[in-house]
Amino acid sequence: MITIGNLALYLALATSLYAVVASIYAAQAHRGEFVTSGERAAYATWGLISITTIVMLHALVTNDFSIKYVAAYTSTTLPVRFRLTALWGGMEGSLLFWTLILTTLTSLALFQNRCRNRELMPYVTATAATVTAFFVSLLVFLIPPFALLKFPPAEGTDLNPLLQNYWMQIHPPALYLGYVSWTIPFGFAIGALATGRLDDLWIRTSRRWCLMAWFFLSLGNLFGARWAYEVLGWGGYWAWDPVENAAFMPLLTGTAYLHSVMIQERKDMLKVWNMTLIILTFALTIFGTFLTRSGVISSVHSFTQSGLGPYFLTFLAFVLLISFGLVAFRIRELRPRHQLDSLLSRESAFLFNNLLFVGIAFATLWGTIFPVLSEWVRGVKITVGPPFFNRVNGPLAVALLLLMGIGPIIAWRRATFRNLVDNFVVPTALGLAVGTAGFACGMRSLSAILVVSFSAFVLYTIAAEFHSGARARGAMLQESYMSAILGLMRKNQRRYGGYVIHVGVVFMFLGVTMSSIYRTEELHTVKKGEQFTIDRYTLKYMDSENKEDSHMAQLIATLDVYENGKQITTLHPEKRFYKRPEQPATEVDMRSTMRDDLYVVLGSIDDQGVATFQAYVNPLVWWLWFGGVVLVIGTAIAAFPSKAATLHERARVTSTIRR
Amino acid sequence: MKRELKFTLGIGIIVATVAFLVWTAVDQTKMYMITVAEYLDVGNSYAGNTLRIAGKVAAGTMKWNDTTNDLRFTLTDMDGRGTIEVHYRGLLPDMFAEDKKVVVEGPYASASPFEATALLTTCPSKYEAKANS
Repeated sequence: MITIGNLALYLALATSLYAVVASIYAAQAHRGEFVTSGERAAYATWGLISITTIVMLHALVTNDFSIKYVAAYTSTTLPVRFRLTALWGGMEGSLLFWTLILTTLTSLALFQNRCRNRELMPYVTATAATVTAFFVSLLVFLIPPFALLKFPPAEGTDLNPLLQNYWMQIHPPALYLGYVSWTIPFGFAIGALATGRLDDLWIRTSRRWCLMAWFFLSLGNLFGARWAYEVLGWGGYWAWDPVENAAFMPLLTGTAYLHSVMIQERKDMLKVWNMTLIILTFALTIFGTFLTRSGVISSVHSFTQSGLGPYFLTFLAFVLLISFGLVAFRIRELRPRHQLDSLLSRESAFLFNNLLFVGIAFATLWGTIFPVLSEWVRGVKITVGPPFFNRVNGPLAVALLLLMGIGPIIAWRRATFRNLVDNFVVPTALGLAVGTAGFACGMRSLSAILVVSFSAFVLYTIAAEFHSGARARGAMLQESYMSAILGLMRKNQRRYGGYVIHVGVVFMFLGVTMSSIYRTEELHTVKKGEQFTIDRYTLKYMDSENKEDSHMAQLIATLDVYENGKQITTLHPEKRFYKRPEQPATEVDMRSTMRDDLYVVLGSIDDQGVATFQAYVNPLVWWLWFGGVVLVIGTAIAAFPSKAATLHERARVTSTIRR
Repeated sequence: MKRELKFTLGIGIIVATVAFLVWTAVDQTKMYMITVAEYLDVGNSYAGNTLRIAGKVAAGTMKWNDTTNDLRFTLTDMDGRGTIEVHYRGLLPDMFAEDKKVVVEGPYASASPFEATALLTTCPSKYEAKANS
């Protein structure tokens, strides 16, 4: 079996390299048969990587401890579902999994475009195959996934206990899909640059891919936050750790891109900017992989320090050089034919939105690599923690929130005084009123007041968009209000799906702001039968219990929770002691409501049964996760295949073929 | 011309704001990452700053009082060049153990023990999630 796995991997390196060479030759020499040949090689790479992955999964499930990777990340007592997820539990497996996703997506993109965009496709193949070849060569030459142990142990080291939960099953796949999917739009961008077909063809073709990449990257970030919140037990969900930042940065530039392409589609402007954004987004996905695997930036959340760093950096330099080289080569053709008309216009709202996204991405990058920079420049290693990121990104994000309200209601081209009065007076008044109400209710944090005030502003403008659209449609088509709203969304999925996503983002803003600013955190040491109070909750420590099985020992505390003198729930925070590897772990228990989360961590219980609890009350954090759900719905609306779009697409394809 | 000037100004303001925020935030939140040996040698040059000192928890020195949540231990230089006494109050991080690499965070103070406001534990052997302060 292992021989088959290795053989498939080596062949995949050959086929992916062939796909690069054949596709580029085909495009340069206009040899159609080589286009096909290159594509077939890409499909073959996918098949070979699938075989490699199946062999690895088989080894993981059957506990083949002669393979170093299997011995390091599984054990005979590990449930099968976690043996499967151990595929992405370590370096070798995770890069193999990465390659599997990449080749799968490449094949999908090639199949989807088998009769379309024939001019661009060789370059898409070549780009994706180049990235594939890079990852496969890492696996072949540097970190062979099937490396053998001379003396296979009888039992494996087992998967880290923190990774043994269901978030581990869904967080990495979502994140990897998010990362890897950007390769496809990037490939189309390279195709556009290489062929000189710089109209919005490549943007339209890759729009769904971008949306998908953006969607999974968002989900990956959210799942990661949720995992941290539930599993790590420090009361928060985001720590601005380098690994989190690595996943966050491409999301920022990617979001900027999704917005700025609208300007290119409508106005034929910002072409260089869009190219820059898609290149940066792709480069940041590679940079993120580098960051998590090189050990250059010390993160408390990283893979083994490995020698991969220089290879990733070289590849990154290669990607940037080729991409921006092509942009420079086409710079004349990329020049805009139009100009922005006025500072008070939707175009400039988009422009400033983009600058803010990139600004946040830059600040995040700066803070992440600051230890390295400061060591180079000044010889001292200086690091910045969460306060840095909150201080810089907080104000920028609040400005973005405001723009999210302004964007959809300000007029295109040039906002007139009339437009401003018509669209802005009511939401501005509402925002001011909500802000004042917040202040009257005791809010003293400027950020909190601004966020609630701007949120009200944004939600109102979105509601007004739906309302006026539905009224107009209802009057025209004699529809009821509800069916008019549904019709509106069907007719213009992108726009209204986007608004729904905005609503989700507003919820997230509220959740994040309130739970960071108004969080209560207390440490209490109590005897059995004693109680303590945090915020409006009273917690009575009732009992503790010991449990033990072959996998772990558990220490479980029972706390009755009272609110206004009435018992509302019972919480069971735990301390676990895993046996292989020997390691303690915290099991948080919480009561989550729309208003706030009561989050309790068991610190320790001494010989006399005196227990220490760390309790948190995190207001409105529920809205962060709910905002995520709304975001999923919004994306579904925006991306769902529609009849109108299909017909339009078919017409376009037919016309292209006739031509 | 006037229009272009306006845009340049708008973009300039945003870029300047980002730069200003980054600059001041670095200044106000920076932490010096040093080793135990550096702390012992030139620690006082960091007076007024927050430090992150990397070292190893010396074997046999960890004293954890689970009633008062006081943790005391000796932090040894990774190359064995000196030690610092450390005190920390709070929950014991899951990954904290003797002989393990740990980073202690806290403001510089000339007095011993070093009062840590956060403990950062790392586990370099594998893909690990953080055990935060």
